[in-house]
Amino acid sequence: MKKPVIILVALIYIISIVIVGFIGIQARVFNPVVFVNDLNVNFDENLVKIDSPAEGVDYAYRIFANSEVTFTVTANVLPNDATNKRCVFEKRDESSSYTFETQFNGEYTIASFKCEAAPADGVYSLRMKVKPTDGNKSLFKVFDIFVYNF
Amino acid sequence: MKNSETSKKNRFVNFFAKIKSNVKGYFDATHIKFKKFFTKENLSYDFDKYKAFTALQAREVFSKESQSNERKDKIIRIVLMILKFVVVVGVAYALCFVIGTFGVILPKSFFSLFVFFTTIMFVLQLISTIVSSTKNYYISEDNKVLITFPSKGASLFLSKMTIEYLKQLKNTVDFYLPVSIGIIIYTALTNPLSPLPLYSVVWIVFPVIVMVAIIVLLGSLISVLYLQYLRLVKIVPAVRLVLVGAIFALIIYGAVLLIGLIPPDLNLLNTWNTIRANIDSFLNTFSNVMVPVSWFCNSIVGVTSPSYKGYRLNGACFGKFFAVLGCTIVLFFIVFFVVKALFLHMMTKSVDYEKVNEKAHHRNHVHHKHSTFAFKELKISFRTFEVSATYIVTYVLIPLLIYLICKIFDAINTSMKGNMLSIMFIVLLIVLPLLASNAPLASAYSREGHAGYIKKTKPIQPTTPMLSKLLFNLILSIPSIFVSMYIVGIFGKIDIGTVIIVGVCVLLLQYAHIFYSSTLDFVNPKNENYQIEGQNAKNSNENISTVVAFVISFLFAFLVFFFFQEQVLAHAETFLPAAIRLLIICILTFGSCLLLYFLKMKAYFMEK
Repeated sequence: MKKPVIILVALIYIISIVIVGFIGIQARVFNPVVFVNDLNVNFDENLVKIDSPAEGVDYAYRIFANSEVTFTVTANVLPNDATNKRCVFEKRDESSSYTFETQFNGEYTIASFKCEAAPADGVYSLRMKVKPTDGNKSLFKVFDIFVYNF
Repeated sequence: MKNSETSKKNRFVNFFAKIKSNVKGYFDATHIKFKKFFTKENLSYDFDKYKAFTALQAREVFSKESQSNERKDKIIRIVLMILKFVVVVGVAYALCFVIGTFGVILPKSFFSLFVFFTTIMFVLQLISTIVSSTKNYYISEDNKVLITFPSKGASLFLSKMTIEYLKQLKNTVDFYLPVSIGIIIYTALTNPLSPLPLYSVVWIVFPVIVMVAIIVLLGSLISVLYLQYLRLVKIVPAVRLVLVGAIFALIIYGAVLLIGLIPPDLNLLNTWNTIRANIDSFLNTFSNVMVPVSWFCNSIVGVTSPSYKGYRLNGACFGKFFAVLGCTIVLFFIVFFVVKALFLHMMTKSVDYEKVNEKAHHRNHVHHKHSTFAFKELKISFRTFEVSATYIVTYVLIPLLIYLICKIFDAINTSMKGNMLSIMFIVLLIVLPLLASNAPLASAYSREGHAGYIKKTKPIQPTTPMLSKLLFNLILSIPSIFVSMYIVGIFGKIDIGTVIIVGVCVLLLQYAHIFYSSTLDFVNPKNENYQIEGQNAKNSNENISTVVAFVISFLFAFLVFFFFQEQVLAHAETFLPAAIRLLIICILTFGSCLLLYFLKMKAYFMEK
């Protein structure tokens, strides 16, 4: 066989591998997006659960505060291999008696609350909404926390 | 005692004195020869005879078949040559475009790609020059005539070297030069990061002229060793067998190693970045290691610097060019003094090293007239090393390469379309080399020269001697196709019944092409060319046979893809209907080629 024929056959050999390797491979999703299908919210052990939350509220807790108190609420998504694991805490009230900041450690979103003391023999409440960040608007959890001093 | 010691000492002194005088004599003689060589009379020796020798040989070597000297024909030839050159430049540009667009290598690595290509071409051309110059200098038939002319050996040797140079220059202009120009134009126009300079397209001519000179000079020097090897294998044929066996074993070992390297799940898309990085790293390392070739490429396209973008020719590049030129001149003198002596020695005894076969007294068996021709042709084919080695290597390599590619395709997780594509390429890679290897059959009858016409005088139908010439290929291609298709069957992309039918189709196509190539030869015979120019004569029939091999192979592969795809789309459980359609087409092709062969043979060889 002549040199150009050998070179052409070699070229076809390589081209066939490249074509089959690129065009002929089984369609496969390489980075599949796993959507969040549930949220799990865990409350600080200093918070006491109230059994009958208000309508439209998923959880209700209370905490005694005659001086400034801090507590954490942790949220994580399900399933565990969801693509976006971060959650967002949204304030749903007008109260200015507390502040909070969130941190995300890769698995859990932790909200740290700092609440002022409740007025003597009084109570104030905070309402938060937790939602995932994968764009699912129908999935969220709402919780109330009552801060009391009596 | 003392006397004997003195005489011993004297003998010792005399011995060294003799050596000293011999060495001095040798150097004096060489010096005188060297001085004499550069005398005016010697340098102005029959230059006209050198020109005459060169013209005489060039006419034989470069004379094209049915070459007309009419002006119109000359213009057509020149236009066709330019067209061919432009097409090769275009193809090289297109390949670079594909490489650049798909990001096979980084834009800055195109220089390394150029170095790699130059090295490969250099090595391939050096090998072909060694073989060609050995034949041209020492074994050529025209030596017997040229030696009788009244001239000095040097002019004859120089004319031989010039012819070799012109042959290699033509080969370079046919392939290396246009491909290099294609690479340079692509990088100059579309590579913004490290463009090669466009003016190199013109400048490249000068370094290429020097490169061809180096190849021819090195080839001439190594031809001395190659000639000794040829003499050795004439005396001890087992040496060649051992060498070929060793090379063959190495190839098989390399293929097995390659097969072992294939990962179980090959995903080109996922691993593409790694593959690309490896290709890039390999090219850059290669370019750094091959310093002389890098120098040579630098002298064509220049060097790069952080102060400007791309490559530019500067003083250092010209320095490298002149260094290469200087080496070439030195090499020329070495070749002239070393090879010329052997050349003249061999010219006078060009047949003396041929093996003298002792007459073996075998009993004369009378065979059947058909088997006599068949055995004769089979024996000639097996004994002619160039023929048997080429075919055997091709027929053994095809199953090996098919096994390798089947392994690769098996490792890729292919879709249904990928399966069809892989079947198409496997069939193409079986049929294409198989059919392309039939090209020498398009000159099988013509190679007999004037002896070929004896066929008409033999007291037997010409069918027997003519078919006997094809027997070697007809027989040996069967196991090659059988093993290749068996390998395809093992990997189970298609059912076994389909594999068998496709195998029969491939065999029929191979036979059809064998008969077609042979028909080409005796319909347009070139016996005269081979009679005059020997076995290296050019033959357009071989080129036609090769082109037809490519057309048939691609057409058949496309039909395989098309018919099999139809079955897939029809949700059929088997590919058998598609295979049967292919079989019908192949039977028709084979039948028509066979019919054509016998009809033409009847017309050309059978007297009414």
